Amino acid sequence: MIGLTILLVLLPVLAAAALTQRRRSSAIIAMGLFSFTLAGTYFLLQAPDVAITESAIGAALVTSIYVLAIRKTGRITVVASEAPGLLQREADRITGLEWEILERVARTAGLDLSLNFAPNEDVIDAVRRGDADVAAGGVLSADCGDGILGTGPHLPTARYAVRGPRWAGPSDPRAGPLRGYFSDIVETVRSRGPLCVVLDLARFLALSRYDLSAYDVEQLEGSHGYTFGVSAAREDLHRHFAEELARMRESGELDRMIARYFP
Amino acid sequence: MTRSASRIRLLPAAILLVGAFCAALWLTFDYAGPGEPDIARWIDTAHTTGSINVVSAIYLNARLFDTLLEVLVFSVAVLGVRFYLDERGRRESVESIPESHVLRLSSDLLLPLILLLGIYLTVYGHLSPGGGFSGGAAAGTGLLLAAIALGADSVAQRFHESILERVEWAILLCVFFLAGISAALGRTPLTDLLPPGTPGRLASGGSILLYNILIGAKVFIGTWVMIHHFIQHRGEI
Repeated sequence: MIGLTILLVLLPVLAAAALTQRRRSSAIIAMGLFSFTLAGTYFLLQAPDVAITESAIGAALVTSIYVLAIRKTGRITVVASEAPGLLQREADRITGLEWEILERVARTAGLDLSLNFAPNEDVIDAVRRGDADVAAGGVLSADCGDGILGTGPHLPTARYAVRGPRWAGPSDPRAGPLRGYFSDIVETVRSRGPLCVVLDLARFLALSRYDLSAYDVEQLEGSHGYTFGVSAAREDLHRHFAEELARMRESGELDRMIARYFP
Repeated sequence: MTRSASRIRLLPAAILLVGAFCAALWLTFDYAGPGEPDIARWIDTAHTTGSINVVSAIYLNARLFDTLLEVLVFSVAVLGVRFYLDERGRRESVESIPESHVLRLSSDLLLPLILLLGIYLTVYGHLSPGGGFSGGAAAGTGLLLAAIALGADSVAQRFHESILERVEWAILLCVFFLAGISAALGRTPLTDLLPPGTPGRLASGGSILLYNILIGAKVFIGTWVMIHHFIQHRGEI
């Protein structure tokens, strides 16, 4: 009888827990526990047949179907190309201004964050194809076109053309954006190889730590801003980004973060 | 929706919830129900079928038609999953969870046990708690575990889905055909097509064992078909 009372008290508690969890995966686990407790209740009330069915269907099958269903919606898939200061690998961690913003948005939205690195030219396409929800790592407002929602610039930037020795290709680097990985460009500069590329401010700052004397550097006209490129199919996410960025701007948190990464 | 509007809608919902909770408490502790049910009559019915599990005897004999419609509901659910997912088109390859030793090992250990449990629950449904529904669902969920550990494609290769789906509907027809014969013969209790046998033996309980096996196979196939469609159309597990 005491066991039954405990289970009966536990039922509404678990139900409330399932309803109030912020993270969907926790809510599903709470729901599975609810089913399991319910199965225990049936068993103590001498209905073992119902208890078996409840644990097979409610606790096992329904829980797994829910887990399968939220595997995509329960997380933000970010595709990014490495951009020092914005989003970079540091030992086995990921750091950077944009990464911190992403982590905050994920936390307030109750979603898990997963990150894939891709060559720069693939980043926007991956979001457009639906392979990722958000493009990050030095995405400029101007890059966002069809099917991509920009979140409004969170940091102003500029563009630099870097052209250098023995470059045999087309002379105008504006013909194409940065292709491949930023680390390849760093390698090229260190070995003083031929190069013709347009870089944003964050990457240019990182590159100017190396000796650029052999290269022509030109600041291109126009004002630009960094943004996140959210898939048009995820308007809910876009709203989360807009709200969180507005909050961070209001509280001055964003400026403090920027000062930390770009002193 | 503005914040105040959502608060106004929240109030009736909260009242409704609290009311429902109180009603449930009252029903649980105070409400005696519409008199004593005639348990003795049900147990008598169960005995005539030769089944030890009274619950099985009721839902696969005296209330067989209720159960048949529930089987039909399950089939319609499977059909609905197929119908709406087929509209979305399927992905060519299924992305699986990265190989993990723990997952692989636990699947190797658990899968045979789960399938055995499913078969046991189904076949012993007339002797102990269980039955076709829970046995089939348990075994089907076991296949989901296998799909997670071994990859959906390799599990699907071992189960020929197009044939399975036909088998599933053939079983449904078969169950309805058997029940139809019982009804046409006017037997009471309804499904005494087979002799009750010695209660306690595996081969007893009249047609209950037969129905359990048929329903168990059907639910097993249906569960896997549903899970596999979900996996295939999302392109990942």
